[in-house]
Amino acid sequence: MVSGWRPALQARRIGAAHERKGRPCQDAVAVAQCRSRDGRAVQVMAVADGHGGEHYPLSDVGSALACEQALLAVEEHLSATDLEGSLAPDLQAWSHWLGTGLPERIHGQWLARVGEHWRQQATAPEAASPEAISPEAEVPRLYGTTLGLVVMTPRWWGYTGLGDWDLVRMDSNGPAALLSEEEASVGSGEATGSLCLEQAARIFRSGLQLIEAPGASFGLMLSTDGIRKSCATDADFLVLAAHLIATPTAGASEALAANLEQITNEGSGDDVSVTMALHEGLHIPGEEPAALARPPQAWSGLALMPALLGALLLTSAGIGAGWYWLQQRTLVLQRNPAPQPAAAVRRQIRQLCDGPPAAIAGTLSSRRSQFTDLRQGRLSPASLLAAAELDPLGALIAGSFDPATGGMVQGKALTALGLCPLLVTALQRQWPPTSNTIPDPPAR
Amino acid sequence: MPFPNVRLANRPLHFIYICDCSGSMEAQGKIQALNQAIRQSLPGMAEVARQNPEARVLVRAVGFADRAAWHLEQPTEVQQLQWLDLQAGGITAMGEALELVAAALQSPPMEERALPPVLVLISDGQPTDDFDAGLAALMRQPWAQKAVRLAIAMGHDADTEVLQQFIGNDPGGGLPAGEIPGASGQRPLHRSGRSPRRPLQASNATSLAQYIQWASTAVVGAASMPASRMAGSGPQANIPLPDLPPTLMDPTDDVGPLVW
Repeated sequence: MVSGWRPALQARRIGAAHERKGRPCQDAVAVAQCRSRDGRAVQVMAVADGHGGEHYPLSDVGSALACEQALLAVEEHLSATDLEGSLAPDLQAWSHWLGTGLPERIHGQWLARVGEHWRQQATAPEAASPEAISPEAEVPRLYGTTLGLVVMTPRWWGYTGLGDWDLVRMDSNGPAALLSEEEASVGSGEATGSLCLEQAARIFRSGLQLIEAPGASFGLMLSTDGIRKSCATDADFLVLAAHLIATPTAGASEALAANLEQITNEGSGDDVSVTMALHEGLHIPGEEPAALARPPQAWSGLALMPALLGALLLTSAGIGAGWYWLQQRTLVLQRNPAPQPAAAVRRQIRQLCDGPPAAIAGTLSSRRSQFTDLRQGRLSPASLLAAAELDPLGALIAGSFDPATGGMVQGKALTALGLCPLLVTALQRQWPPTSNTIPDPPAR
Repeated sequence: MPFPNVRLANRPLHFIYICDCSGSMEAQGKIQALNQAIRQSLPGMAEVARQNPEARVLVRAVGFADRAAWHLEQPTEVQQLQWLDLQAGGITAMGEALELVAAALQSPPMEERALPPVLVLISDGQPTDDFDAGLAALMRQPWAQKAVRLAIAMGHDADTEVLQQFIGNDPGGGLPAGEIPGASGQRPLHRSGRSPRRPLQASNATSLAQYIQWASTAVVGAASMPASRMAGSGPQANIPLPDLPPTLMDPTDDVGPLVW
């Protein structure tokens, strides 16, 4: 079986404020690919955010060790466990592992590695004087860190971790959704769950989702809190997450580095780290696709809703839906009746979205008469759509028009256009929402 | 690949003075000292804000006497702030002042991404209204629970018990925030009796100015870029508070005359 997961991308950037103050980056991020005992490919990605501050002076080491031990713990378990066949654990067992067994293993290993590091440091020539060395029980606090981890297998994916990391899922048929965040009862103010707590393994939050079908098309983004806190609202964060998830593989490092720099410079000033993976439909030899489209079971309350929704969509739209990244930019619905734009229109969209942002509004404004004529019925959308090769911009405008409302298309029809957010915004300005109120009579 | 049209934003840091303007503040130049201390602290606060562009420091002030009222209602960027003098006269409606602040800390108008606010309660007396109700209203607000709450007692007639209730318990008895009592076996950073988790005793204009300066610079600096910390480490400050300034007239130093 082929995994269906593309190799995860990762990036981190020291916070603008940390850089200015000469502090180290306390975030860590890591990705790995390993194999189960029966040879199935598994992707793993992790982020960790060291607490920083004077009470956690080694938290940059702590976060790196957290990612390292998380990946090792997954690899170690999978190398001894089948993912398929009669010897493979069922989903409930995997869910239990994510919620209990894996956290205990990671926490135990992290404490051991932290202890080793502390002892090495204490014996180093430049170590502090003996009286300044903290008691053994206090050592983990010095390395305090959060940890978020996602394990992606061919049939399911799951997450576990503690602290204020965020996990976002973006499906091909809708906006990005926040899947996991720290509960307010755990974190308050700037407080967060931490591996340095004695009861750390008990406050991991976890979830597991069955992959609805081999062709399921979605992306996952795991990030430290610096990204979400840099956005004015959660809505902005989800738009930003969708943008990051759609980072093209080619040149990803440069693109992500530039994006993260902008985020920390214009946002919270905190360290920012992100890792993400895409799942796309690939043929699974010798297996009936329908067998995979069985309704998912809920192994976590959080996991149930998206999985169920995905299964329902697949049931209605059919199996074998593809993955469509329009210029690796926006997820677009493929398994849905909503039509795709013509090739010429897609080229036009690409040209607008890849060009200078300021040029979009001007380009659309130059076609104000088409907007007006479409709204007033003097121009037929069909005629413009039919002439897409000759006038792709006109066809794009017609495609964004909903004759039923006299305004811009919404929902799936809008998603199917595959527009970048800037172009959506610019079009929305050209298609102001229609008002049901009776306008005031003109002044005499 | 152009950056999406999202609003990246620095995080607002609301700093609210809650000032006693009762008649007793007229005595011995206390209200003048308070006005002067706040006014003098503004350039330092503005400099801290400039050094921490990731935070947008917004100042407000409530005065309370017979009634509580906003003295500076609009959250004002510290760089634009012109301090108008508070006037003293009346009784001590401290509870009502806390209710006013509670309303301001609701979400909205508080922003989703705001930093934990800093609330500084300054008083020389005892509340004459229902302080408990005001404090309860305040502490029902999640933003108040997350806030850094400081209190300055002006003179020795101030009711330090209610000020301590405003701050919250100080189980560490002088340990610094984030330090687990007894865990380290090390000497506490703060001397016994002096802790930002206890009301700060200002005995004259100089010590008042130093505490106001400390709150508006060191605390604002710490709150502007708070390091995260582990949850469940006890009812300590929501941000690790910086050390208190040395005060010339520190009561624990037992030196010098007590002016107030």
